[in-house]
Amino acid sequence: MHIVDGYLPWPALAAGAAATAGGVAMGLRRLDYDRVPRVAVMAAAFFVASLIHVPIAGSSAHLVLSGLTGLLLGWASFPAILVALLLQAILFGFGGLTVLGVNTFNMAVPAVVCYYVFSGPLRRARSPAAAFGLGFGAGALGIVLGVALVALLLLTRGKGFVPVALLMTAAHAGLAVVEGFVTGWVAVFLHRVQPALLEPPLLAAIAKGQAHA
Amino acid sequence: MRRNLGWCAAAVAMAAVLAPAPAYAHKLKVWAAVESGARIEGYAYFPGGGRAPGAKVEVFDPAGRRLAECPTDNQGAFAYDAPYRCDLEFRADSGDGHAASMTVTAAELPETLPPFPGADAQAPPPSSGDTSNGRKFTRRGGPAVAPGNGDLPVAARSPAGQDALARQIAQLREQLNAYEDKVRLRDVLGGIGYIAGLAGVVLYFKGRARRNP
Repeated sequence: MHIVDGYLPWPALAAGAAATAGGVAMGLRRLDYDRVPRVAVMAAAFFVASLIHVPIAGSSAHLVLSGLTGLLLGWASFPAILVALLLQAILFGFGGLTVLGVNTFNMAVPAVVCYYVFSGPLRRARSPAAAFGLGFGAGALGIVLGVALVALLLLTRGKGFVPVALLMTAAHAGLAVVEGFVTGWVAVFLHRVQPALLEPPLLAAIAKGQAHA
Repeated sequence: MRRNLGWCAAAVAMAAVLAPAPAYAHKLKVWAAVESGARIEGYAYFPGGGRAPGAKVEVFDPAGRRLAECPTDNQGAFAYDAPYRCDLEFRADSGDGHAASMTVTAAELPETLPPFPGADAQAPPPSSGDTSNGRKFTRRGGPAVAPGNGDLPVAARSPAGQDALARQIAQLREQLNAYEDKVRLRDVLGGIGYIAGLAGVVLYFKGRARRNP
């Protein structure tokens, strides 16, 4: 899911960096004091998850956790994923520094979409089975959207990249299922043990701000 | 009880998916070293995973021209006979968006090879991944005519000694490369530490802002 340095033309890099800067600003503005540790913990989980490899049908992929990050952090996924990807690029050589903006965009946008689609229903879920289903949906959707974004970007480089995009999509279909299971599991656990973690960071922060005003 | 059984089954399925034997890593690496004479051998591999068979490996001269293409065999290995004594860059591309490069420097090649004719020269002599003229350069020449050998240890002054030395150095470099991949654990712990520290910094500033509204 990480695009490496030198694969994309500079306008794509600049656009990705600009979009990510906007998302990070949005995330940081809505980030209140009490939720900083949660963002940090999720950033750390995202950072380490990339080392868990899932070999599927001859190719390989690694856990991304964009869906889970979105469920727990909402817009704060942007700064969390940016930090995690920065450390992955520096320490593991995944992706690169010039594509950092594009890669953050590709993983944080699915996270935010998952937040809007699944976070509310998950908070209202009555049974563990429903929580699992919603978590599974978030995990899978996070991967599918991320791969779609990466594939679209590769296709802008020309028709020669069609096989690469197809291969990547196929490899990540399996990952979407695995990630769905992982996220579903965590969703059930949180639903049972710590439902407060599922409260929406963005909306709560806004409500608080309005109360002060 | 029945639900617990279901979860156990899911856990076993997850473990089976996550832990099959040859786990492929995310990052492609290429290794190339002078084996004997002008013969360069190497392989493309995933650190912590397996070799990369069928990867495209291209050789570039210092002027950026493509000298040859030598795809990896089913063991992930390739071989190339250097036509000149110059820096040669080996670029590997596994075809699924992973790419890597490694440069064999001129100093590693025998001094009996013709020097690099420069960027203005005509097309390089035809060479492919597997030619037979590699060894005869060293056998024909030899260090006696090559300048600058006085500094070398005695063992390195005969062609056989040079070959042995080259092999030992190659082994050493291979060990070094493997060590580099092992440092990863420290990188993981360091990265988590960075994130914790960053969260501390954010908390500090947010906390100050909260005390002085």
